[in-house]
Amino acid sequence: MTHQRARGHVAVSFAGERLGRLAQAGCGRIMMPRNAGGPPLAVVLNTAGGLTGGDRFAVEAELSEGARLAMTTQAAERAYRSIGGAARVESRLRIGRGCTLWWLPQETILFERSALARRLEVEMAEDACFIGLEMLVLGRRAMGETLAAAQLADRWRIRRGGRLAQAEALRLGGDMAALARAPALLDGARAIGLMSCLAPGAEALLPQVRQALARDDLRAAASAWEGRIVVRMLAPDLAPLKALAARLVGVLGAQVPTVWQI
Amino acid sequence: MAIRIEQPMDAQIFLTLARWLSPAFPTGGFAFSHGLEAEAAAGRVRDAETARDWLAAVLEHGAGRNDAILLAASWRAANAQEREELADLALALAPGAERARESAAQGAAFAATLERTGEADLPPWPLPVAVGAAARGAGLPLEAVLLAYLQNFAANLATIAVRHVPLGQSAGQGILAGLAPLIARVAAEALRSCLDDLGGCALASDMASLEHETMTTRIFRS
Repeated sequence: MTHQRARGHVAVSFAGERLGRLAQAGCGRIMMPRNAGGPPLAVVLNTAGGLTGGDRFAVEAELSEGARLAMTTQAAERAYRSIGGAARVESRLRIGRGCTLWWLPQETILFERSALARRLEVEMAEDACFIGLEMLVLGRRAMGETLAAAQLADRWRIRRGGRLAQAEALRLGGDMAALARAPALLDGARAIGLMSCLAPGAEALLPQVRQALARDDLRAAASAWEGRIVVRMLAPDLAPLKALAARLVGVLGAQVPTVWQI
Repeated sequence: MAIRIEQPMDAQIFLTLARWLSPAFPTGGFAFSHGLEAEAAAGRVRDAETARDWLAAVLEHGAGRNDAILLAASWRAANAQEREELADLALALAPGAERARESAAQGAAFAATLERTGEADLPPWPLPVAVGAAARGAGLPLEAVLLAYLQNFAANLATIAVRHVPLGQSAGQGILAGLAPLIARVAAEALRSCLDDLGGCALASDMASLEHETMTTRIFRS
């Protein structure tokens, strides 16, 4: 059986309030639904309906002249069983001086024997604002799915004013059940979340963020230093994770994209 | 074990390694629990078995392995500019403020001590980057440095576990003895690694280091 490798690419740019580039290729689509009362919203869609081995998907965004943009995905991203090789997803975001980008994709669901290599590269100006979110689901509890084998290499590199400010490197592989059980590793979580806000003075929001974390349906904690707040979340399932993420989006002064299914 | 040396290890090399990477070297490591204080307070680390599992997870899937990869890259680095970038990377990888401080403060103390002893003149890089740079300058073989670094990292945390879980002294040493094959494996992996190999999934231990920040009573700085 030969597997038709999917390719997708989308790009968007804004200069101030003017839309510059809006490009899509292959299985990539990008839509700009009307978004009353907030910054423009760019919704990314993969018409291939999911990712599998050898697929490539790339997202680019560039903001200049004080532009503000929210980005999300139309639906959950699904990484399906891979027959040889990893699916590769690369996102490159450039956030110019005085610009704001809310990067709020919906969750990524890893299926049994999926292999996904994902990179997020952010170049932001010293005074720019970036809010980034990642939600990862390791088998859906409601569907009775438990991952025994899957491969994930998920990497964030955020450069601010030319210097590396935040790096994340999540690697999952091998005996997933053992990783999932270990109290120092996944501690039984099926849904993993990361929310990061880099902006001048971001630390000041730490008390409000911590207040929002006081829930008994998941483990979440925050830290703030050097112009950033990071919130890490481990949840038994997606629902509490996504509910908290939606709450945090508001606490950080952003808006939950209208297309989110919560 | 895979220390391959054709001749007996040069005495100077052995003694330098044993001194720099010993708990007595003043890096202030005793003040940083790497989130272990929060784990013990929550009861997740409560006896020799859970302490061993926690330490093994951190070594294999957390900062142990990542530090070893960063140390190896710093040892191999061609110049100070490359090490500056590694220093930024080491700090950027910290999951929260306290772990960033843990790595930065120990590295700065390590460099300050070597400056006072006249053994090296290093910027205040995070610990793995500083150790890699100093070791290269002193002609210490990378594999031996990795083994000693990882054992020192584990020994510091085992000592904290002995005092604060608490465990018996011999239980702490038993944990370290049992971790020797894992330490050797992580060191061997780091020896062949490049920066693309960085990463892990010690997410709950990272979480504990964040939870540590809001503990009302705490002894450690991380």
